[in-house]
Amino acid sequence: MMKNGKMFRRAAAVVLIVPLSIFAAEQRLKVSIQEILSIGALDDEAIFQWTGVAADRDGFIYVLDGLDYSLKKFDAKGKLVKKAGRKGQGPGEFLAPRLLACSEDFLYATDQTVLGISVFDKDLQFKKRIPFSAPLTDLFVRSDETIAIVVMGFPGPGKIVVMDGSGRIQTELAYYEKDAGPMMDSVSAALDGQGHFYLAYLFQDRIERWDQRGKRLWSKNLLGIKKVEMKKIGDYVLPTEVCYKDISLDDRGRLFVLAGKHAKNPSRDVYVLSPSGEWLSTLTLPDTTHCLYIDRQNFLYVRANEGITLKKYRLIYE
Amino acid sequence: MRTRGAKRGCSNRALGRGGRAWLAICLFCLWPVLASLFTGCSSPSPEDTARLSASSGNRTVCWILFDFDSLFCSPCLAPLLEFCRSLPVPIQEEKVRGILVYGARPDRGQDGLYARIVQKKMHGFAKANSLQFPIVLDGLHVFNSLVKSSVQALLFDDVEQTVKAYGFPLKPGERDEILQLLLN
Repeated sequence: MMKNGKMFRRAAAVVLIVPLSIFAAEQRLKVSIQEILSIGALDDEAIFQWTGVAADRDGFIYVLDGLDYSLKKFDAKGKLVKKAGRKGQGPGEFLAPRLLACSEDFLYATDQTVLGISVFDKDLQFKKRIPFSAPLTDLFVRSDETIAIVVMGFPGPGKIVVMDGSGRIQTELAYYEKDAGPMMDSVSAALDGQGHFYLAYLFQDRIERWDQRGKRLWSKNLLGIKKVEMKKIGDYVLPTEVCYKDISLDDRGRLFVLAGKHAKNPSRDVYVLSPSGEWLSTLTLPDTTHCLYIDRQNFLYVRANEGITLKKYRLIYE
Repeated sequence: MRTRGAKRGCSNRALGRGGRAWLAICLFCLWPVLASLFTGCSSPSPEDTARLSASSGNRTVCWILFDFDSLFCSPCLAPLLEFCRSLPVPIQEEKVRGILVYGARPDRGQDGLYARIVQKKMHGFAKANSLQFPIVLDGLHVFNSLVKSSVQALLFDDVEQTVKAYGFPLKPGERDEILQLLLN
């Protein structure tokens, strides 16, 4: 009996201590980066101003370049292997290329001034344009049949739309508050393996997780911003200072949030959160970036030198 | 983006008497420096030279001033690009010069590094848009106050010995006027 009681206490201790130690380990998480690759220098013609990036399982890196209106493919060593696109609004052409995502077989690219999503194969051959009638602020692809887009919320309210490869809408997530005001619902978004959406508001101190049914699971503010700076531009009063610029998920579902103007190091500080929204760590990048992207192999891609350089880093957790 | 230029700038159309005098003094003083920047530009082919022969005695030149930020605004530079496409290549090469105006970036530390970044981006833009005229950077930022709208053209009329200013988008007839002055 005594022996059984001792065993029970030990078992209970294990049950209690193990989760606590995991939690404590998460709290102590330190994230650092190690440079793996740098593409684009001052004296080459590799990249002039990259806007969107995506990487596939084979290690190829795809980049949209806003200054020469192109889509570029680099190998794992950073060598330019192909370039496609030119200035225009026709098939495979760009005026202001912006967002890029990839699936197993295709690349999905958007243009700020041309509506819809252009689809290319991995050889950069234009295949089709998925029609959509509003500008997009974010794009992420889970498969060729699950393409999620964030619809620009100006002048109307923003929303997340999930559609198939032909543009047929499957679900819509209305995350906005109708009285939020112009552009206050602008978000950068990410989609996890369970189909949950993470939202980082560009002009509000809010990071949120939603399920696909439109239920908000949690909401966090990390910056302590209560009042949003506004400015009259034309006929509208618009927010001017960016709180969060971009988000991405690592292979364990941790959320990486790129902070904007209010951070200690604007456009360099990246907050790392657990899937439940707990702050784990802050990573400070060596240079400012407008976006961050984590590929399926858990490499981090960010900007350097004002966009003429793309940096690829290995994420190191301690 | 555009508000930065708008705050700091004053268009030549809106320049008062003092502004015009300042502009004239500024250009007079800077002429040797800027002229030296343009030396060594690529020469036209023999065919192009022949096409230019009719205007060989005319030293009228056109400077196009545009803001670095406008490179990322497709509609902002559309009128300039349309204008450039309408100019014969020899005219662009021989008589048109671009000046890219940009703001200093103290946060970038050495201004030299930022200037090289700007230069690379400008090169990519010019190549992708087939701009045939040489473009230099306003590294001393002397023209910042002149660029109110995204693009200004200054025409140094060799015949009338005056400087004429045009804002983009050009008004009806101004493109032909500039072309005539460059060709005559």
